[in-house]
Amino acid sequence: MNMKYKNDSRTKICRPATDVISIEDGIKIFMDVPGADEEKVDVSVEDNVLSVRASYTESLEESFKVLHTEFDHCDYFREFTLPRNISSTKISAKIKDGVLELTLPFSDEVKPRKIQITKE
Amino acid sequence: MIYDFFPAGTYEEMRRLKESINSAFNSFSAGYPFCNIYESPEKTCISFFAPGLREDDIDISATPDSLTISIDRKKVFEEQAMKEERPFGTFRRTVNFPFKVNTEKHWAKYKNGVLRLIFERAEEDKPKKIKIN
Repeated sequence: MNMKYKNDSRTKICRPATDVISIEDGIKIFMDVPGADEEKVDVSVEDNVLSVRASYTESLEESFKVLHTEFDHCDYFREFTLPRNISSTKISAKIKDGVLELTLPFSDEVKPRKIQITKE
Repeated sequence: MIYDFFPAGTYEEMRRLKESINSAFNSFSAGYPFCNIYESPEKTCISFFAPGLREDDIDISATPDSLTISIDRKKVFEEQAMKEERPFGTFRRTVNFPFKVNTEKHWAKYKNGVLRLIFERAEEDKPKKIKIN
């Protein structure tokens, strides 16, 4: 159980569904965070741990009363320990239609390099 | 009592674990996409939580009593996934309105992965005042 994320409010913490894909020059992560936009998402790296926090609150007219609920107001939280070969300073993130896409490139040291042969 | 056997805070952790397991099982039984239903005297609002769709992937049909949505969620990658938790494929879900609605008077919007539909209550279903003679 993760103790790093302290939820002081009564908001529920959800573990967003995630796909992790290995690509040629790194790793891609797709995460479902319905209802969250770029202002409500926070991605950070600390001690080689990638943390994603996002929140969602459904805003409706006051006259609406809840009749049935399957997806409550929640704080999304998930964290991943990064492999050593990921360049944490070059991680990029974008969000579209409630899907957060993270690109984690390999650091230059582990990328295949062509070694030039010099003629003596 | 039983709490004395555990260090401080452990019980709270166990309670949260129990809640998350219960919530996971509730979600399984609900079907996909998850939905919330709201009502007011004049309208009903239904929200579906279906991220990563385009408008063409969503098909909505309504009768005065129920609403059916079909979604086709396509994979955005071809590579073999190291971890795959997000649902893909075709999903269909029907929910009943809390009252009869006027299918002509509706509002629908898909934003940030949430599809929200609002329908007005049908005139014939609205409560009518009865005068005492």
